[in-house]
Amino acid sequence: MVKYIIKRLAMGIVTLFFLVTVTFFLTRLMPGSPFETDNISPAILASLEEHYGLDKPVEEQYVLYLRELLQGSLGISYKKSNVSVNDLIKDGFPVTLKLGLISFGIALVVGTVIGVWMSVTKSEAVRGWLLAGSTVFISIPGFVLAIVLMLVFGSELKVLPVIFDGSFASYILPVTALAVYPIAEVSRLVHSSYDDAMNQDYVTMARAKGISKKRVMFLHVLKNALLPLITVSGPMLAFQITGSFVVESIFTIPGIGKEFVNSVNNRDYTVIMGLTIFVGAIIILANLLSDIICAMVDPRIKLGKS
Amino acid sequence: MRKIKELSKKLFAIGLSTVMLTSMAGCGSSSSSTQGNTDTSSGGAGSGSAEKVIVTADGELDGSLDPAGFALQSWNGFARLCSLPLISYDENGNVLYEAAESYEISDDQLTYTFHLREEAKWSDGSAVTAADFLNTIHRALDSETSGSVYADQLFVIEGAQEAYEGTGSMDAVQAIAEDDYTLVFHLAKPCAYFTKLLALPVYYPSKTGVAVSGTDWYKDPETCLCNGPYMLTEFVQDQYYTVEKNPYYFDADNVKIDKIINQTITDTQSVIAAYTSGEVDVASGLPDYIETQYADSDELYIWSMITTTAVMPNVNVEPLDNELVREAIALALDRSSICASMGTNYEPTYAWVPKYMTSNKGGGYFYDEVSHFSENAERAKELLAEAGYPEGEGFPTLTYTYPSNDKDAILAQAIQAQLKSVLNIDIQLEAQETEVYNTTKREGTFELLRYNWTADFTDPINYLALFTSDSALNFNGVSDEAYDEAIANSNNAATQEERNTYLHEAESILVDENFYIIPVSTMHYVGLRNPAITGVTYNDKGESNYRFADLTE
Repeated sequence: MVKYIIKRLAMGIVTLFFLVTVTFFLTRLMPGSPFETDNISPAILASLEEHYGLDKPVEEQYVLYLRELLQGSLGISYKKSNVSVNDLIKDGFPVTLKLGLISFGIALVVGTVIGVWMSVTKSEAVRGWLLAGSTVFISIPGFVLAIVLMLVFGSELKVLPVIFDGSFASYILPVTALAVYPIAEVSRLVHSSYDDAMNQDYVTMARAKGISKKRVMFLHVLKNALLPLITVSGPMLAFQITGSFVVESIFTIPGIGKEFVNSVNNRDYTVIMGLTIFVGAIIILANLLSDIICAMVDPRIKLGKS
Repeated sequence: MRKIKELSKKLFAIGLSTVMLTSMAGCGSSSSSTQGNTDTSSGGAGSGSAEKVIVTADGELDGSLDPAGFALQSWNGFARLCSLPLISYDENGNVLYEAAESYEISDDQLTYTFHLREEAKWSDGSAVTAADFLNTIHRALDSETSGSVYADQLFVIEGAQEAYEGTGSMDAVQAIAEDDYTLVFHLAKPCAYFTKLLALPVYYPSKTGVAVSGTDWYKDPETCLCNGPYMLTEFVQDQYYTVEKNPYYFDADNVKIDKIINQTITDTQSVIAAYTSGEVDVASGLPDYIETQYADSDELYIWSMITTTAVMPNVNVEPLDNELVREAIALALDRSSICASMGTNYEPTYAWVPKYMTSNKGGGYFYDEVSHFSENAERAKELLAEAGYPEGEGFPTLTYTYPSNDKDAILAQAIQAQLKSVLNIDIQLEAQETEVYNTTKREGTFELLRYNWTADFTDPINYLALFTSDSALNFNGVSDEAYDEAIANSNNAATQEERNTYLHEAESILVDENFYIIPVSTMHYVGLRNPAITGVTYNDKGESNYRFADLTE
């Protein structure tokens, strides 16, 4: 197990290294300077490039960047004076993390409840509606939902704030926008795996042994039905806590998703690269974590033996 | 034994998930404020409380608030609230005395002497002195630390260019504090538009000893001292900043607004939503459909940009080296239909100096003082035939290079279609990413290029000086003696009236006679403003100023 984790971590670092190298050279391959604006004079441009070390050969810049990276520094923003990428992450990530964890938690609980409900309900109508609902919400992109929520509850009804300010009310719309897709995803997954589990022999066996239906449903079946959920929850968690780019922009949430969008719009290369590396590292870690939890819960899974 | 091991594994897993869940729950309940900015939701105009608060919204803004640093749009908005230059101009081009109460120009036009207001104070109560203006100038000229994109606009001062380039010392820069309240500029050569340059950040004051390059002084209200109507009280990078009435502003009695919050909202939809929900009072940079939607509303406000978009022909490339060909292209375009396809906020223009640039001699726009060329499809065909390409026969396919974005793509396609239908010539379109496009432009490796210039300062020379043969920003290889002479004459003119004549002569050579540049359109920004806000004034760039604004019920 420990060996496996070390191996996975090492693989993660290699992946990150490739990520760094590719993004670095891709951003440098493009001709032109990040400081180019219509009105800038060539002398000033040269002086700015020199200030940020962009006049050095690309290989030298790359080595410098790697050296900085090893010391934990992701570089300085080209477009915001005196702002390091580390600062941006330090300020933005807690906000993104909080929103992501809340919506992830809600998605797990609500999604599981709806999924089980779909499976155990005797009413075809209820199941039909729930299925239809989850199909609709799994197909609506988060940003569309975010805009609709903003227009309805912000602009029209004026009951909830459009601009995120950290108050409880301002969490409601973005969390909803972020949670709806995973709720639909979780409910469908739980529904299908729950149905599978219901048809297993051990259910009949347990019932035959005289264990109450409720106990079988919620203890025996649910436990097994949730296994696939753990597998998908790693990537899902990573997705939720690395920030929904668009939802953060729409609700003006000062998280890293919004920073990402801005840095792309402004062509702020160091910020784009720094955030890519950071997000990449989180995705790698989250996947590893979900694999480990999976192996712990399900003895049939042997890590590193597949 | 095996069972115990399994059990412990399971317990660990359950424990881990519990920890995760509780951490989420914790997040849910403790909604500690991330920005503590409750005014945005409760504020807004006409709230009836004693405190008058305006919330404005801007998109993501680049740069810093240091006038000697990387000062771009963000500085511009901030400076209009919190900083006073020496003098400025109102929308009609009249001088407003700000930090200076008077100024004189020597007879040889080489020395400008500004007398500062002794009653002008920084927001900590200390005096604004000539040294504070030099603090910005010297820091901007220190190429090691400045990062200022406007440093070259200081080069009119004797010794400034040498100091920036490292060939001269900072002490030799002829911007001199004669005493605390007398600031003198000795210019390298006459510069009839020098007072217009004072609107640039590098000519604004920054407190000596406090505003130091390479530090974050402008993010901290303690060190970000202001000499304007408002002063910084809170700054949160990329989210918002708050300014409040500055009690030390020399005209503080006339400032009626207590607090202005500038909220950063990047998403256009969100800005509109925040405006409709009443969370912000002023929203700017909105899409053109807002103009139609709010056409009859007193909430709509329009900011006519001092900008020109043009087609730049490379005059060193065949057949664009032929004046007849350039003129044919200029006359063939139907600008009204081009602008109509781009949006209601675009309008045709027939001159290089923007439509809404105030005249150097004051009173009205430079554009309106003379007549310009006019479109004529028939004449365009004749011109092309005269050039040796009747009905476009034998005309090579030219490439039109433009930066890759929606509006410029529409413009490019419209130009392509019109030149095909009127002149029967083929234009190949090449969209490039902004940096690539800028490099193409700078290196002059284009045939036809979308060219746009937005005014740095409000004098026609800002546009006309670009095309002198020694200009570093002359990208299409214009080299015309008559033009250079007209510009030189304008710089040496004794009066602004005389200078005005030379400037028009220069523009006529540039556009109407030679079509070195083919003007197409200008644009305005669309904004929404709570009608309860009154008393908004405008500067010579048409930008709103909330200095004497008020909130009515």
